[in-house]
Amino acid sequence: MSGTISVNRGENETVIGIKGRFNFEMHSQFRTAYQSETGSSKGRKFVIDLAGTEYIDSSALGMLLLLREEAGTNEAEIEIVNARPEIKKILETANFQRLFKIS
Amino acid sequence: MNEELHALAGEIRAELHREVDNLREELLQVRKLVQDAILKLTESFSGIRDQANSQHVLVTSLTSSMDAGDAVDPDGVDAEAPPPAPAEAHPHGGTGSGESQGKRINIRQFVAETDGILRTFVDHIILVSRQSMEMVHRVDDLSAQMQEVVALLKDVNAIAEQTNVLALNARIVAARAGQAGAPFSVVAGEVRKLAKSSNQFSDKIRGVVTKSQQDIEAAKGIIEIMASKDMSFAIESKGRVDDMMAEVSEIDRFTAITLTEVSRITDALNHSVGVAVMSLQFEDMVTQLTGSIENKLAIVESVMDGLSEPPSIEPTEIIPHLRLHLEAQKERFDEVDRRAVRQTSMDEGDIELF
Repeated sequence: MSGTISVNRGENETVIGIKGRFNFEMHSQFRTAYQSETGSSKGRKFVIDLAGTEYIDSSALGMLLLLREEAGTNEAEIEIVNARPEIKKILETANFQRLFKIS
Repeated sequence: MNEELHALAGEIRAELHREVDNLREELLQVRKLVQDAILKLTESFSGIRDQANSQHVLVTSLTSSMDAGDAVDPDGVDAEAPPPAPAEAHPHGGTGSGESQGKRINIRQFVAETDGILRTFVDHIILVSRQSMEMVHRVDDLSAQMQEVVALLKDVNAIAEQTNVLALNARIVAARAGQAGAPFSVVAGEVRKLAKSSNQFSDKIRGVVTKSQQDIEAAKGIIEIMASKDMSFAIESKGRVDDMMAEVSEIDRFTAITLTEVSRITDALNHSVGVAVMSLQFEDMVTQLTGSIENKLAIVESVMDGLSEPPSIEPTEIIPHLRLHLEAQKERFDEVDRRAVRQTSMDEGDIELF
């Protein structure tokens, strides 16, 4: 039932793609996806690709906030891309456009 | 013969006088009727104007309670506020317009406050989720550390196993040594016992760790419930609030249009009433006309009186006498007529409709 995560590490940015349901069950995968980066490389950019994401709940929003806090100390940029309209609406209702670049 | 004619003329004159008096009477009635009607019409028109004006005031006061929230810009307030701050949006939205309107219910303000409450609620849920996720991370770390303990216990077991093997070897060597090795064999047996109890101890620790892992899983289940909230409710509620806001704006727009229309109608009505009241000033003209008719009646009477002069004159002179009399009366009549015409034409400028 839960989704899957793919991680694509480029030179300066890490693309984390989430397919299926982005919910609580994804927490350890999602954490692993960014944790190895945040400590080492400063100023690394994160792209969260929600193209394949079908559902998102509040725990996913909490995870994104944690990513921002744990990566944000390095002034990393975090961009959320390809969210489908209903998910974009959730992000906007949560006021995420002030904390992330949503495109 | 002359006497008879004279008597007849007197009768005719009396009859004509009666008729003229009747005419005067009726003329007076006409003037009175017109005056009364004009008075009533003027009052009635003033009443219409007053009522139209108070209607306008009522409509304005009715709609002004809806307009009171215009100063609040809900989107502006919310978009700039940081996540924990939207709670401050309510006092912001509630000041100013709300106070100036007293305790009147204001739909716009109500919707804005609902929006603020919803926002605070959403922010709260997200905050709880964020902290829950942080807690889960800590618990995961704890779980990993527990796994390390289990791994370390394997090392302890390996050491115990080695010790066991060493003890076994020692016993073999002791047996070979014969009698001299007997005490050493006892020590080796004790060492073997120690290795065994070390293993038992490890098993107990492993049991505790396993129990802890189960508790950790249970805790994660609780945290999951805490962290996972479906967000569609927020979207739906937000949508409803936005719809309400749009509806309020639509009502405001419609109200403004209606109000303008009401003002326009009231103005038009006032203008029409003004024209009507002005038009009612024809009373003066009626008075003048009736006055002129009265004057003419007087002349008619005097003509009649001249026709029935006593027969003091010779019959041959009657005709020139009457002609002279007629000419004089004609002149008087023309004079009265000229005056009346001059007066009506003077008033024409003032009264448009006549």
